[in-house]
Amino acid sequence: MRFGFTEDQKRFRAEVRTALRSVEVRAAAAEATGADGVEPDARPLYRLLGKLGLLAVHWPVEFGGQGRPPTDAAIVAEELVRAGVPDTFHVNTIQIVGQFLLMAGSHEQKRRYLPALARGESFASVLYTEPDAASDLGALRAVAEPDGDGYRITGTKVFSLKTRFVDLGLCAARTTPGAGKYQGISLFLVDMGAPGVTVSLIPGVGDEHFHRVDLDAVPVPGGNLLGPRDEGWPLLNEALAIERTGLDYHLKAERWLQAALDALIDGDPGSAHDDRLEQIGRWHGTLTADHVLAWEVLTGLASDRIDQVATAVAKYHSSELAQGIAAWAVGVPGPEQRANRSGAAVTLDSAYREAPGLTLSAGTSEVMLQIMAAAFDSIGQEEQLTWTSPPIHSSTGCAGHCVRAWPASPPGRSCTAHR
Amino acid sequence: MTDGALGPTRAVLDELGASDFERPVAAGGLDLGLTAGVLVSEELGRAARGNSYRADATAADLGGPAGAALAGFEALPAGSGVVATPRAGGWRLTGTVTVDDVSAGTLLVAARTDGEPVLVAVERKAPGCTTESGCWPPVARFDAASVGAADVLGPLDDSPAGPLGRARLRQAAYLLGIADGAHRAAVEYTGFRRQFGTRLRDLPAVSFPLARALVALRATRALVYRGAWSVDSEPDAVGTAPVMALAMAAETARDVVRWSMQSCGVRAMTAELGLHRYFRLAAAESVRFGDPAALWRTVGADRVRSARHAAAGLEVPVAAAVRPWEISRL
Repeated sequence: MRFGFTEDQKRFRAEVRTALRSVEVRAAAAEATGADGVEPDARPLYRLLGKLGLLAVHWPVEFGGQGRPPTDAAIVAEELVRAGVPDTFHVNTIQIVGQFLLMAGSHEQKRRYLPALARGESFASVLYTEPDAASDLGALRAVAEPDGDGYRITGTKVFSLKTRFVDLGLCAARTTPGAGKYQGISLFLVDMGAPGVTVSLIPGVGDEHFHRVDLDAVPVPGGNLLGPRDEGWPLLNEALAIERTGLDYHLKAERWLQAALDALIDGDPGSAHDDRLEQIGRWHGTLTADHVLAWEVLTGLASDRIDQVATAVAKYHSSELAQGIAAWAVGVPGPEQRANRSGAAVTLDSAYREAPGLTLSAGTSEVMLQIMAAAFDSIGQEEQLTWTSPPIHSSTGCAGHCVRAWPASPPGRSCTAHR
Repeated sequence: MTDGALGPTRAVLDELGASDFERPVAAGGLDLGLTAGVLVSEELGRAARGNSYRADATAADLGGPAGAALAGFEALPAGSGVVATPRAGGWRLTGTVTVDDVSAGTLLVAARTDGEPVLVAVERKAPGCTTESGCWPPVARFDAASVGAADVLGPLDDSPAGPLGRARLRQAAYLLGIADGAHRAAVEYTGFRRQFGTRLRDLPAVSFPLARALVALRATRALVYRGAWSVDSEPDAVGTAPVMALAMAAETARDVVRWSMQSCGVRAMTAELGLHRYFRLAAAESVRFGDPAALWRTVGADRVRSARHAAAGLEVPVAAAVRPWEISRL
């Protein structure tokens, strides 16, 4: 197994980094960064990034990309965050909805939607979570009723992020109610400007606020059905796994630890900070491991391998780590730094308020643990041990089964882009 | 469990030709790199065996003799288990430290002189040197034990990809194996043991700690394998990787073995499941190459130093990790 980057990857990273260090990008990134509960419109920044061709480098050229390897897209994602680019739009639009469209969409759907997403001219969000269907996504109630050649969707979706800025929603709805909890679900691309769509704000503790989306008989053309009708559940599980590389959470953790170090050094330049060294070392070591876990998933995805356990491990580890760093780091800036509203102090205050959502979005930590626990049976079958008492396997469950039993859509990103 | 050079796994490793794995081709070996040594170490831990590979592999890196035991490495990266003071024609060693095999003829002792770590070869039966095997882990005492100047093998090279770094990664892998072995045992047992009408593992109160243990194991494995790969493939970029891997592996071994014991109930405290071996090993092996807290402080000091250089707009050589005894000079 290789743990380093190739020369080509290093060269590509350097090019991306140079592009992102321009005065224009820096200024736009600063304008797009929220603070104190105020959420600016980040679309101008993304239009700029789209012009630079940086948003979807791994998509085929005909769909607005550069045809580069998926791992190059991860390199771009890393550099975006390291350059101070708020990444919610990128994660929701490119990494989740765009990627899902690329994976499951028809050629016509890809041709129609992907180029605009890649140019930063159109934005997307997922609409999975409902008031009574969060981690238990199989409880969703939104209905898509046939209407001529298309459908009309009625239901309520909640806790999405950036939704008031987006043009496209990836919506899960029942096309055959009564078929069973996990049957009869379909996925649709919904025009967020269509009649019957009402987006309202749900203020939250973070800088990015939640949304409620009411769908009142919203017309959706038949051509906007994504994948086969009634077969949305397996697609959803694949989509959820793709969300769980852990890379985005890792990058938050990295950024927040760096901000804490900046605050420490700025606050007392002459100190060795002996009282903090053990914890800093532990964070740094855990971050290093976290990066490897994320890239294990990413390289697997690049080879069309989706390992549900590896994604659950990566998601759990990265989100818990980022949350832990945020909770620790908020106490690092001193009173003077807070009073002066230093960059690190503002970042860490924002991080602390964002952090509770990390272990909820894209599958709660509890759901990730359940996925791992359910996979123990598979692991046990692969590697039998010798026992003084004979093992009794009462179940032959597998990772795939466990995901079906635990759909793992939390009040968060996977359902509604809560990040 | 103190299977040193003469332990029961020795015959197995000899049959495999394990001593050739890491040895360079020029020296008649297979030159498979540290990665191979890490795998051997991990499997020894997973099997809950003593480590008959560690001392010879470390001795080979340091130019010491085969068949020796390691002593005093727990005093690293900070502390002074054995102090070497000069005498006419050599040194006197004083201190009491952990040793990994009381039956070895020669002890390779990590000692300090003027604050700097050195490696000294001491005959086990030399005057002033005694061993105590009635405690766990066993101990070597040096009561002004005299050694000649030629017995000082040299400074204990603490460069990132040097002998000590390599030894730390092997030890980290051994600890990873210990943790993983205990976890496998617990996963297996809780998969057929029934209480409350269901398998133990079907109870979230049991399965969630085991799942958290899986996360810790995967993270630790990532650091250990990455560290070994770096030493083999990108030695200039190793940095604090061996220290991080060892610190994390030590804590993972302690935690995962404890969680595994808890999930299996009282039987874990008997010989029935074999978990007791992992439990005993975890205690001794998690500090054999230093206190994890001290190791983390070393990593933290290096990270702060990097951040300070970056803030000043200076380039930081990746390989220039802070040595523990330099922390206070930062």
